[in-house]
Formats: sequence, structure tokens, C-alpha cells
Amino acid sequence: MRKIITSIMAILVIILILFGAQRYLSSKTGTNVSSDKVLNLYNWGDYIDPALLKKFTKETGYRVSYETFDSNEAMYTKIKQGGTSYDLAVPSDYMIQKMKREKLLLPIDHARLTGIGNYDNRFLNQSFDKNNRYSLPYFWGTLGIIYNDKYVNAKDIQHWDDLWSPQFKNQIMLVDSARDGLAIPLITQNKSVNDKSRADLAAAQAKLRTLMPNIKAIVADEIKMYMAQNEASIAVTYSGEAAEALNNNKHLHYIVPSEGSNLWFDNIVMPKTAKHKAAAYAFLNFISEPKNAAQNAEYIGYATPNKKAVALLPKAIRDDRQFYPNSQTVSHLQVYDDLGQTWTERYNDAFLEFKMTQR
Amino acid sequence: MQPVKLCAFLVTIDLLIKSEGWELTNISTPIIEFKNVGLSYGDDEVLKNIDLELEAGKFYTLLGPSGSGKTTILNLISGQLTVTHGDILFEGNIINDVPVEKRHMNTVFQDYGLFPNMTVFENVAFGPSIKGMSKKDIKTKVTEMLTLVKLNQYADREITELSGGQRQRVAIARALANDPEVLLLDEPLSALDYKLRKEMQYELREIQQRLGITFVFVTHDQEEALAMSDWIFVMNDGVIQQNGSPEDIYDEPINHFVADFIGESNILDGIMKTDYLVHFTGKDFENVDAGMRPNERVEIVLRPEDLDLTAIENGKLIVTIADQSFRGDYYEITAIDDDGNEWQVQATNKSKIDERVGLTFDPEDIHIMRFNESENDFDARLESYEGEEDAEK
Amino acid sequence: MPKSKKQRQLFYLMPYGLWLLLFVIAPLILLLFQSLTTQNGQFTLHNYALYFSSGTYLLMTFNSVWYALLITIITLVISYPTAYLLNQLKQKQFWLLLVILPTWINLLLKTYAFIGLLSKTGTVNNFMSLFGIVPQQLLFSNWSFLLVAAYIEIPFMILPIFNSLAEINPRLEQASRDLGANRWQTLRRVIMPLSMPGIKAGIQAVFIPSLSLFMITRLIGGNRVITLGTAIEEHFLVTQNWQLGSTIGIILIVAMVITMIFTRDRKHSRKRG
Repeated sequence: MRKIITSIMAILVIILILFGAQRYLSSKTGTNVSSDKVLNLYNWGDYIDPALLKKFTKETGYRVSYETFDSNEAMYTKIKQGGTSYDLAVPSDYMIQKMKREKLLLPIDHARLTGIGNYDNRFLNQSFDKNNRYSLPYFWGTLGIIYNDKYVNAKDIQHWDDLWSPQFKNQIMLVDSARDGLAIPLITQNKSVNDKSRADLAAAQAKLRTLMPNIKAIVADEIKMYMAQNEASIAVTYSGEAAEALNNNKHLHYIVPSEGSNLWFDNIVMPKTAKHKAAAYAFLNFISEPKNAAQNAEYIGYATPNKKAVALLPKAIRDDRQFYPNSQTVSHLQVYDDLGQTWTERYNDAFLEFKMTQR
Repeated sequence: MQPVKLCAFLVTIDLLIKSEGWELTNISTPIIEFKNVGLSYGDDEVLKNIDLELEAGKFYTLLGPSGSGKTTILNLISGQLTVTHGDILFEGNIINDVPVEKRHMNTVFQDYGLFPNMTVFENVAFGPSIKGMSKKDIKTKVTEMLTLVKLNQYADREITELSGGQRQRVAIARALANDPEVLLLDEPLSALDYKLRKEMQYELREIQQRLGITFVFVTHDQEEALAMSDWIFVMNDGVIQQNGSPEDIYDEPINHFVADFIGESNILDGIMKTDYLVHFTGKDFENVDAGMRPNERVEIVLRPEDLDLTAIENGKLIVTIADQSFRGDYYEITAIDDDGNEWQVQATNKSKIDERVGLTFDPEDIHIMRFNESENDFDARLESYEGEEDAEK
Repeated sequence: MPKSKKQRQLFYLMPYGLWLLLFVIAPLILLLFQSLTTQNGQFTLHNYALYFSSGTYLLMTFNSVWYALLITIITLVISYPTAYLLNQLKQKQFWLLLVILPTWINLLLKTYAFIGLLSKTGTVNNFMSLFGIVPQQLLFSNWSFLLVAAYIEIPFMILPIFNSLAEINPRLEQASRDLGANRWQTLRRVIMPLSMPGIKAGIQAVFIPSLSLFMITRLIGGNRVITLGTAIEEHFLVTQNWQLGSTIGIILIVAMVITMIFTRDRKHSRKRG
């Protein structure tokens, strides 16, 4: 008995020591490079043209320490738990809202920005960040449908409701994401993608369930690979993923249904951990330059919110309605709000239950 | 029938048969017979043209050094190995291709081969239960067998809880529980200490006589073979060197190998001048062997226990004591004769080192071995002049 | 250097003990602690109540156990004869190496290799088309999921069984045959019981990880198979409800402990009455 008590005490002591160590480390600057002529940039993997980083260093003298994350939540956790000193990060829309609410972001001083006028007004002043107090848009995109013209006629798949067509039995790949999965039935039922009514959510789930016979698989990033390999004829995914898939298979096309869809943003923010504000502002201004934004957009293949940059893009890209849809379609797009913990879980549970529907 | 009574009965029969001068071979076919059996692994000839016959109810021993082929013969009988050529017969029927499990024999392995996942009871019950015996019969059988090996108190023990000697007994009981007609024993006592081994030798012999089944016992220990067996096969290099009763083998070794392997021997080169006269160490000696060519080169065997030390004037040879060691009931003495030959002598009295003494022996203790004489020729020769002697008497 | 034997033993156990404490016991306690708190850090049993009152989670639990069971049975049925035959081979260490080789390859790589094999334009369908068979949908089915999961787990089943078979004294097989048992009876009554520790170890090595498989459920199964692993992943990565994620984690650990108890090696289990 005494032994058990001793070992439990030992464990508790170790846990306390670990907590203490973590606190101590958090209070320190952490592992990032912290000399003055540096910029700690926290971004998605492979989400900037490396040549631009070199150019930035050359022009400004700031060396860039580039660290990557693979999900908003991973980035959020790392910034929230501290121990880091990221000067800039690139979260998505709803996450910006959440981080803002939890006071994890520093406001951006517009007086120090030189390129804000280059941005398209349609992509500024979004609900998740009114007046762009905390963020500048980096890339934007949509949720839409990829189809393969070897198996599907373009006219058969123009709207979300077309997905329910019996001719697509067991042919659709759906992105494994609760918000996106439920956005589809919500839009077809003329509801907001941020709807917070239990009845509406239940109705959306019920409608999504009726899509199950047409669903071949619910997968994530692999959609682009599967579509490029002709594994399925239709997929619902993001424009960024679609761009890569289209590059690899000329039979693929991407459409954003005109009745509406999700509009997503990856914006640059300054986390409260920022230590090198001068460097951060230098980078914000650097990336806002039309030439640099255009180079980045060409390299990454996503749509840039910088309208002067768009003008610099080759005509084939600039006029591609798949990725730069017309104004009318854009006006119907909806941005995801952060739903808060309770509703985030309700959406996830609803989607989880849908996934477990017997096929 | 009670085991003890059965035993007495068998002994009576045995005596009866012996006193009447009957030969068992005359009244039954051999239980096991090898006809020109050979076994090779590629070019490696492990057994060469073996012929042998085993009679039911006897205790046989295959004796030889390791690699002599004795265990190979056992494995051929049990069916673990298959012959390269020749036939193996069981009660007159060829069984070359009968699988192990269908042969009416069981084996006691050197390392016992007990199933560690079973209790003593379950080990012994294994054979009967495979045969499909009823639970009740199995219990009776196992109890009987465990009583036979004096382990009836140990039925519920795990194998790991037993001593080496107890495991040995379980292995015997397990093999016997199948009512085999032949029990094969592969050096079963070699892992036991000296005292336990002696005890088990006695018990095995007793069990064999009580049950009256054939035992084929493999060993490299000549003492063990001499003590237990009705009949011994001495093996070397995949060939049966000699077979016979323990007394025959000991007293009349056929060749250098057998003489050397069985007991202690003084072996010398010599010449058989005529019948009953042999020449060695530069002198002629009377002896009791005959049937050889005049002046044939031979080997002479004299057992240490047949030699005596005596006063110089009474000695047939004169030797110098070189070494001696006390062995409890005798002194083992090494002595050198004038030709430089070394002699092993077992003497009852202590001697002095470097003392010159006489060495003496009786004519009938001189045993003559011819070079390369086959067993059949050897037997025939022995018979020819021993018959003569009997007639003379 | 410590003096007494006991002290010395303790000294040698220190590194492992520390490791255990830091990376096994402490995280477990944190997990348990987290599962018993609300997001504001107050004590609650709410997470467990939620779990056990939710049809979705219970169904998912059932799915996890059911598929883990199927995977275990499939691997066992394939692995036992394989391990048995491997043991009879002359170059058994070499063949065993071939069996183990796939475990050196990253799990994700193997999974992608299977996508290459099973996809509509994959190797299997290409091969079948040689015989005029039209491309079949092989991916995204329960069968493809079971196939890939079993493939990945098989080495972990074969290895302990192989080792336990290799440890069996060949004499016992001889003895069994000698006592009248044929090959099948020998296998049934001697070899199988003696290799039971290996079978149990294999079941542990396969069943326990199979309970919480999640990646191949999506990649190969197309989320047709939803297990608790998927739910844990979601709660830690998407909804960020670590408390509920921890609760499911604790429940999985309990399931694993139960498996261990059922398959532990009982040395002296039976005594004749």
C-alpha cells in the first residue's frame, strides 16, 4: 500500500514538474529564431513561392523562418499554448474569428500598410473580420463540384441538387468535412451555411442522408488523386484541391453552383506572439504588391484577392470562370462563421451520424 | 490376474522353457526382423545391410558409441525413419511404409518428450484417449500404469513440478499405457545420476519381465547393457559387430572393437601356432582356442580380472608395477612386462611401485580373436571345436 | 554503485521506470483527468454520460469491436498455417524475413500502394481486363478495408505464433505420433495448445491496434467503416473537444485492458478436482 502511495505521489510530482516546465518555457521566447532581422512566418505547407521569400530577404534584409502546419486547429493549438514567437500566420476565416474572440491576435495598424488599396473590395470587410482590423486576405476560394467529362455531361451537373440525380448512383466523392458536407443541403434548402437552428440542421442532415446512395466515398485530400485517376466521376471539394486535380487530368472540370456555395479565405494575421512587428509589416506590404501577389498566385494556383495582381495574371488564368467566377456567382457565396463550441460539435455530430448511415 | 502372480507365472514358464531346452525361435516368428536394411543420407551410409531378428518378450540392447547407428535402428523400428533399402518386418509382415502412429510400439525418449501443457495424468492418458477409450477405461489404465512406475500419488502434478527421475517414470508409463508389443527405449537413463540409474535399470528389467513384452533398449553404457539385457547387439560404424548374450559378448569378443568397448581389456598381437597353442610376448602359451590356420596372426585378449600377481618364480610373465589405484573392492594396477607391453590387472592385494612380480593366468582366460572374422564364421568355429571338446569329455 | 542486490536491481530499473512514468503513466493520468473535466476544468461525469447515452458512439464502439474482431480472425486464419509451414522450411529465417519485411515500410506508403492496386485503373483491374473483365469497384468497400487492414496486421500475428511454434521441442511432435496420434490430432492436441501463448500474443498485437484504426478507414474504406479512431481524431483535430476525445480514449484503453485480461498467459490455470 505504501508503495502505491509513494508511486502515485511520484507521478503527481512529475506532472507538476511538467506543468511548471511548460509554463516556464511558455514565458520564454521559445525555440524560434529571435534575433532582430528575422520574420517568423507560420503558414500551410507549400503555400508560398519560395522565390518570393528570397526576394523579400533581399529587399528588406529580414531573414524568413518558415514553419508549416497542416490544419487550422493544429496552428490554433500551437499558438494558444504559447512557447512560440510567430510574427505572422495564415489561418482560415472561421479560425480568425475564433482567435480574435480568444484575443490571440494583434490588430493591424492600417496606417503602416501601403498596399491595402490593391485588394478587391469584395474580399475585404468580411463578417469574420470587420474592416480587416486583424487580417489581410492571402488567398480565397470556393467549395464546388469536380466532374469528369468522360462520364458526365456538363449540363447534368450545374447545381447542388443535381448531385441527388439517380444517374450518379455510387459515383460521388464527398470531402470529409462537417461544415462543407452540411453546407450543401443547407444551400439547397435556402438556409445560411452558418444556420443555428436545430430544426434546420436536422432537415439538412436528413437531406444529406438521402444522398448516401450516390456517395462512393467520403475522403479528404486524397480526392484530387482519386479524381485524377478516374476513380470517381464527381467530387465535392475546394477550389484549391480542384485546381491540382484539373492540372493532372484534362477531362476534369470544376464548377461553383450559381445558387451559392462557400467562400473561404486564408488571411494573414499577426498572432499575439509576434515579436518582430517591423518585419511583419514589411512582409504584409511586400505580399500586397501586385507583382508579388501575382507571382504567388501563379505558383500556388489559388485565386488571389489582390485585384491589381489579377490584372497582371495571364489571360487564361484571369478569365478562368472555374476559379475566378463571375460577380453574380460570387455575390451568392457565403463565408463560414465560427459557430462556437456547441454548434461546431452539433455540426460534427450531425455529419458523423450521416457518415454512419448504412449504405 | 495380479501383476505379481503374473510375474511369477511368467518366470515359471521361462524356467520351464529353459529347463526343457526349448528355443523360443522354434515356436514363433520373430516379432521384429530386419532384412538387409540400409539407410543413407546421400553418400553418407548410416546403416549398412543390417540383418537382425528380435523374439517376442525379450530384453534387447543396442550398444555402441555415439554415431554407431544404434538410435537409427530404433527410429527405423518406431517408424520415425524410413529405410533406404531392405525390409523391416513386424510379426512377419513388411511395415516399411506403415506410419509411426499405426505401429504397435511405443518409445521412451532420451529427453522424455513429455507434453509440458498436460499433467502427469493427461500425459499418460494421451495414447488411450487418442485410441478413443472411454473416460472410465482411461482412468483405470492410467492408474494402473502410474502404479506400475510408482507414481500414483503424482497424477495431478504438472510436468514441471517433477524431478528428472519422476519424469523418466512418467515417460515409461505413457509409452506403456498404449499396450505396445514392443517398447523402444532411447538412452532413457543417460540423464539420471549414478544411483538413480542403477535403481531404474533394476526397475526397467522388472517391468519388462512383469509385462512380458519386448524391450529394445539403446545405450552407450556397456555396464548398463550387460546388467539388463537378454541379448546385446554391439554396433559400430553402422554395422552390427557382434550379438549375443551378455556373457558371450563379454567372454568371447569377436574383434578388437568389441573387446575394447566391452569392459577393460589387455589386447596383444600374437601368433596361433597350432590349435591350443598361442605365441605372444615372445613365449608360447597353452590355450583353449582352435580352428585357425597354423601360424595365423591373431589378437589376444586377457581381461584384467582374470590376471593375478604372484611371486616371480610362479609367474608366466615377469612384470614391473608402474602404477596402482585403489578402487574399493580391488586395486587397479598398471604393470609393464619386459617387452614393454602395458598390462591392466585387478588385484586384491596392494603392491609396491617398481616391484618386480610374476603375472599369471589360466589357459581358458586367453581369448583369441582373428582379424576380420565374420560373426557367422566365428560362431561356426566356436561350435566346431567346443563340440569336439564336449565329445572328448 | 549501490551495494545490495535489491538496490542494484532498482538502479537498473530506473531508466525504464522513468520512461514508463513519463510517457505511459503520466499521459494516462492526464487523459483520465481530462475525460473527467468540463472545458472550463470543472469535475464532471458528463462526457461519460454523453458517450453512453449516444447511439452514434455506441454503434461506433460496436463497429470498432466488430471490425477488429473480423481483422483478427482473418489474420489468425491466414497466419497460423503460414507460421506452421514456415517452421517446417529449411530457410525459415529467410522466409520469416520476407514476412516481416513489409513492416519496415511506412503504413501510409503501404496504404497508397493498395490504392494503386485496387483503384479503377489499378493493377488488379488492369490485369482483369486482360481477361475481358470490366473494371470493378474494389476500393471503398468493407472487403477492401478488411483486406488492407489484414495485410498490414498479418506480420504481427505471424511473428509471435512463429516464435512460439519454433520453441516447441520437435520431440513432442514425434512423441505424439509415436503414441498413435496422426498429424491432425498432433496439431490439435499438442502443437496448438503449446503455441497458445503465441496465438494470444498475436491476438493482442492485432486486435488492440485494430480497435482504433482510422487512417485506412478513410483512405481505403472511404469512411464506409467508422471506428472510434475516427471519432478521437475528430474530437482532437476538428471540434477540439479534447475532453470527449479523452473519454473515448479512456474507453478504448479499457477495451484493450479487457482484451489483455482475456488473452493473458495463464500458466497454472487448471487443477484437476
